[in-house]
Amino acid sequence: MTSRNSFWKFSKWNFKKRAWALVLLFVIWFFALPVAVFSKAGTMIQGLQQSPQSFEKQLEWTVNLIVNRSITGSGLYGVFAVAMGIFLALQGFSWNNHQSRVDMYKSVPVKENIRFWYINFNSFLIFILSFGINMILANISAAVWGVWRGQFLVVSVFSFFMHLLLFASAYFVTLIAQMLTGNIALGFCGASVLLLIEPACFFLGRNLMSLFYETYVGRGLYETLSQGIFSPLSLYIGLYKSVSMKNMAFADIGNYGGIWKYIIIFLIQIVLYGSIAFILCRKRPAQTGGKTMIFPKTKPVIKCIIMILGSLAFGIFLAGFDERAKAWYGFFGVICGLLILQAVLQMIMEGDIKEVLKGKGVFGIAAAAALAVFAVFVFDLTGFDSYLPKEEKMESFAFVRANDYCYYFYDENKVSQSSRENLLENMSIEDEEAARILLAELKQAIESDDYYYKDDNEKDAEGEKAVPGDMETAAALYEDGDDREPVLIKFHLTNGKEVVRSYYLPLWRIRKCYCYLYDLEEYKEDVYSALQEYVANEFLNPNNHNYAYYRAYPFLASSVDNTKDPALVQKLFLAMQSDLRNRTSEDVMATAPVGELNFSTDYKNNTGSRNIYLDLPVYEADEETIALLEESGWLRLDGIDNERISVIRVYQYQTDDSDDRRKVLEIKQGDQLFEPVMEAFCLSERLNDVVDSGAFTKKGYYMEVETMDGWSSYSGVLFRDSFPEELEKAFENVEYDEDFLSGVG
Amino acid sequence: MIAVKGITKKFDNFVAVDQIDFEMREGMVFGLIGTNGAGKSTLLRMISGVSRADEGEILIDELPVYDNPAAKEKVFFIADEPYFFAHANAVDMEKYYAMVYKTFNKDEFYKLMTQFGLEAKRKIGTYSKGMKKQLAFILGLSARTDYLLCDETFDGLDPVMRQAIKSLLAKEMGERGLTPVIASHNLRELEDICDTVGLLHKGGVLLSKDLDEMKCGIQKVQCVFKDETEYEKAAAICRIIKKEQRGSLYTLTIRGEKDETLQKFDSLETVFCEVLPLTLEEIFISETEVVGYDIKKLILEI
Repeated sequence: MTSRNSFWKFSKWNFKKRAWALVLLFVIWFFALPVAVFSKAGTMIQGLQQSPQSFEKQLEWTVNLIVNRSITGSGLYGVFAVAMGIFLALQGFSWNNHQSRVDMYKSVPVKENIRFWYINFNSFLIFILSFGINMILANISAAVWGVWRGQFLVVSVFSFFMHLLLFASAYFVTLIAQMLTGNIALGFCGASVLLLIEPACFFLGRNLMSLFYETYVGRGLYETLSQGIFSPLSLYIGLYKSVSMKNMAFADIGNYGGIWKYIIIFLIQIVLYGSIAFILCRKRPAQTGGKTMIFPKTKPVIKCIIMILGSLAFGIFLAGFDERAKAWYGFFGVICGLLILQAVLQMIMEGDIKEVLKGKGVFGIAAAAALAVFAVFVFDLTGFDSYLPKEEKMESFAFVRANDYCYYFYDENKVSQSSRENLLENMSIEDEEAARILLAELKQAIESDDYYYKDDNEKDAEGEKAVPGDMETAAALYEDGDDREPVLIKFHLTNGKEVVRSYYLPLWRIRKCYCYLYDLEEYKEDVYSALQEYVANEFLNPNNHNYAYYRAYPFLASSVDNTKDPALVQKLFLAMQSDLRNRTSEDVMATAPVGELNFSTDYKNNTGSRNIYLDLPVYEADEETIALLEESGWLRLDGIDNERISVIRVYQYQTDDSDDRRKVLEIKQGDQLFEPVMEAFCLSERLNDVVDSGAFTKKGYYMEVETMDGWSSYSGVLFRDSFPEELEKAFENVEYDEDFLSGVG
Repeated sequence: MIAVKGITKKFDNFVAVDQIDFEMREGMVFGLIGTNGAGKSTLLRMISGVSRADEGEILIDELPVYDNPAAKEKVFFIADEPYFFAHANAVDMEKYYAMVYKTFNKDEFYKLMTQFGLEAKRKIGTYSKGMKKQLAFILGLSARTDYLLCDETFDGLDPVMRQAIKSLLAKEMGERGLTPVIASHNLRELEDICDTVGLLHKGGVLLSKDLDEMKCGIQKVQCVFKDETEYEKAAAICRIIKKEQRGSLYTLTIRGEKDETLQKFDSLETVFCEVLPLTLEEIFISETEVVGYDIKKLILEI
């Protein structure tokens, strides 16, 4: 019998014996794919049929949503692929190496490598058949609802391919763990360790830095977990973050070049892990999947790694108990973790409670390593917080203040970015003098240990608070004082590295940097997206359906009006651009914004969402913009034409600092209270009396006024001290039948 | 011929088999006896290619056995606890082994199944322990390999079945030169059928000889000396490996040929002297006692 013949013969035999696994996986995929797509498509289509909007247009969106969420947009499929990889690897291993079977399988005249490959070939076949057939069925179920498009098939094929790569990598990692440990239960633990160790290291690192480094800028969870390249989980999370989570279908991969990076790394992982598994299989002693570690030298290594990582996790957990004594709680947690893990691991590995105190050498090494690592973070032994690059080694920098914002839903690559990410990513100030001033201020702040948040330097709660729109208090904030503000700084170094830090600096120190910085043209170009070509092109394009509205400060007492008139949006945008260019550092330092102007695009992209959303602060110095707002009636809080009003809603806020509110009254045109309330509402000059929602309720009620056309709404304050008599009576008789609803302010 | 050359096998720090050398010739029944934990099963696993020796080599008809299908085709291993597929019946097992062993004889298999009175389509899970052993043995014989390695195969079989299996082995040896290698604690069983015996103790070979030769080399002498000094003379001229005394009656196990031993005793003053036949069990006990595996010591310690 040739090797090839025997391969197929044994493969067929093995496949028959493992048919139950195929059935099990098939059922799981059946519910996860065709059934899920069918039900989701059905719900969406039924919803569309009741919608007054264009059915065809909506249908296209629906198809996208189904593609995104049913096939690729859910991490669930990744979880399935990994779980199936582990399951089939364990099953294959058990088939080949289980203690009761090994005498039979290994004594018969079949070469080891043939046995290795036919078992693993079948594992892949089981996954491919169960996943592939159900992917086809998912397409058919979409077709049954009439929402099938060519794109659906492309996405299915691509999704199938990516999940197959994930499966293969997780499968071989599990095989390696099995070969190292030699026992299915231990092998399962080993597989979990191998798959999770890399993301766990990054996760622990992030948490330790976040706990003990004052200037650390935390990455997002997904970003942290996806940093690695060795674990298939890290890689898939990266893929998921870059593609699926961004609400992008895999069909959009043409817009995202990074996908090839993932494919190549996955392929390298598969070849590497497959080869290691094969070599270990060849070297593996066959005295079976017994109760001991097959490669006993791996046992202390695995134990040590688990103990170090686990005890650090304990330390982090306990450090969170008390912010003031976090270091000591943390060390206590590490020690507790070491002791607990020593006992648990000894019991798992040795299967004997009497063994819990053995392995003192490994315990000692793990304890020393864990405590040393923890100490590095607690005492900042690497000088993380005090790090400042040398001026000559700094190419450029980004300086982002708390109030600097510019929201994007998507960038040019259709990858969503938050405001801070975007500013940090794109800002690059090369001015040498600015760099010198910045570094000098930071150096002084660090030397005087006055660069991060401390309980005693936060006096905002009781002290003077910045009142937007109130110039006197705003100006005072930047004089010597205790008021502080978080600042994000990114250093671009000459060696190509980037260093991001967050400082919590006094405003007077910020002012020293900001005055110079703000008047630089390159800074304004970077900090205000409205001045950037890509954004300007979107808002100045008459074919786009753009929106704009203005919101006067303070937030809770604002006037809101909006327009879709492209001419007005364009005019406002151009005025804002001009004012931004002319605005000086003194305008920004000495005054607070009086409102904010919001621009957003509304043309259809792949997901039907707006793709750019900008919030721009408006200062009194922004003459062109203010004039245009006044001219278009957007600044008026008094003199609203009563005939335009359809309804007035009056709300009461909680007396604490929360945003919870409840509706008190709803007054319609013609009601007895309509006129007096509108009379009391027109008190725009006193809006700045109100700073927070707690104080707000003591002073009055919050009002929303909705206009007849439904496009505009205004909000304002009804001050108690100026209540008309009939209104006082009306409020006395109000029955509050609604609870405070959280966060609706 | 199976040649075992300098084999060593360790499990972590435990040496299961230590520098073993011996040969198993074709057409003879090789009995592998040994104390508990002596390494009999480990040795059989290595001979069948299940596990790999840490040192040394095992050749089956000059071919190394580990991961070598050409050598493994000559060997069938019946494990102490034979494995059968879950929910399988004898037919399934026959199909599997027929696929694996080119020499597998289906007719022989079904003939033996009928002779042993086993139902081929009944699930093996419902078989008794003895029936499973019978099935394993039938599969082994039907594979028609040159060597049949049996690990405690007679355990759990009733006397009739034992005899039947012995007869079958004898028949196969006569017809096609089968070489059975049987590991067992049941020395009486082996004594009946083995030509050659290997005695293992603590991973090493105490002796490996033809059974008859082994019996010739050790004598059991029962005698009464005229006085105690005569025993001391006997001890000086003979290699006494075991002594039992009941009153004035001595039972001595002595290493040496029968004639040579009798000659030595002729020179002593005895009231009564007789050479008794030795069983394999007695040889086993005597040999292992020499290396400290002493039943009396064990009883005393317990």
